[in-house]
Amino acid sequence: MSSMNEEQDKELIRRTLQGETKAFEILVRKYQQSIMNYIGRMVRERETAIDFTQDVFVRAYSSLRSFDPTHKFTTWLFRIASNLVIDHWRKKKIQALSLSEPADEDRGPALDIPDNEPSVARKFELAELRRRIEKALERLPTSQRELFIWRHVNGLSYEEMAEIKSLPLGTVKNRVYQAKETIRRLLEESS
Amino acid sequence: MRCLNAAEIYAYLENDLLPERRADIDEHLDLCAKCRQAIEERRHLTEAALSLPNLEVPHDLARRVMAKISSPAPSLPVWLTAFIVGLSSLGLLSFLLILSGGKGAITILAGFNHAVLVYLKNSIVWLAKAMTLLTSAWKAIQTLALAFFKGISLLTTLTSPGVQALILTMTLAALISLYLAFKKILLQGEKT
Repeated sequence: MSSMNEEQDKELIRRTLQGETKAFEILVRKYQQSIMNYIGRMVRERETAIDFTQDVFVRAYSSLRSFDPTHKFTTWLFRIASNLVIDHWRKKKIQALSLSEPADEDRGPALDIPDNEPSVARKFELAELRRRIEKALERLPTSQRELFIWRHVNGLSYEEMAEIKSLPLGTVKNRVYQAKETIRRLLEESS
Repeated sequence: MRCLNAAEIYAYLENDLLPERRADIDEHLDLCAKCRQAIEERRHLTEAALSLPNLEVPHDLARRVMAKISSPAPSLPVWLTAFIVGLSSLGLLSFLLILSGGKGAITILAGFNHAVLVYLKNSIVWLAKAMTLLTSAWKAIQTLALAFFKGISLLTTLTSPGVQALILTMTLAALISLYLAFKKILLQGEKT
């Protein structure tokens, strides 16, 4: 199914390169929600997120000839989006991690479970829990937040995330686990 | 077996463990309430995270993107390039024949028999004329080629390949007929 989806994307790209702009519009409609879900949660300003989502597709279109069809279109699209977000943070002088820079949290807290750990996730109704997770996401280190969103909101695989960020698979997994633990601790603090 | 850490719990929940390791953990969970609770806690949290709502996308976002991007410059097929070049040359030749007052190449060749000074003088005049003509012709060809290319792009978008081939063949035939008729008229003019 996934492979069929990839083939459809490649066919749409081929048609776009032959001058059929309508084919690119299909790609935009197909992926606009995923990109908006990612960028919206990264930049936290709706209008900026809308502008950036548009820019991702405009950039993708203008460099479509450089797309390597041996890779997935979504992976390429998320890399463009990630670079756009990093540029935005650099301009705003917000901490932006380079693709290979080790994050502090990778050397950070142990993932050991303490004795008498309180249960926070079960304390809230699902809707309230989601709202609190969204709030906690804002306080998450950028490198963890990005991977958490890709994994849980966009449904990317660890392999895809490792490819986008050019990071080892183990590092990506560890950051996602760290992100979940950080969120759990933030929920614990706020409850 | 010691108690699980968070990384092991997430790997367990995502079924990302070797079968032997998973069996060891299952065995441990039967005996350890603390680890069972830790797993349930993270399972619940993960389920909530997986169901975070979509952010609203403006209904006209795709339209806005399409308005921002211009038509790409796809490379012209070889046959189309050859066709445009041929058509342009034909047009230019016709222009030159008309402007030489129907005398055409004969007059130009006769010029070679004149004295060198006369020839040079004529050549300069011709060169100036030709330059003016070429500039005008180039502008006209550019406009024509652009319109032609846009027409072809529209054609390929709207019609099937069979219909495209039919239209192109008919257009080509019409152009050739036009050229032949034009040539015949010119030749008749020279005879009279």
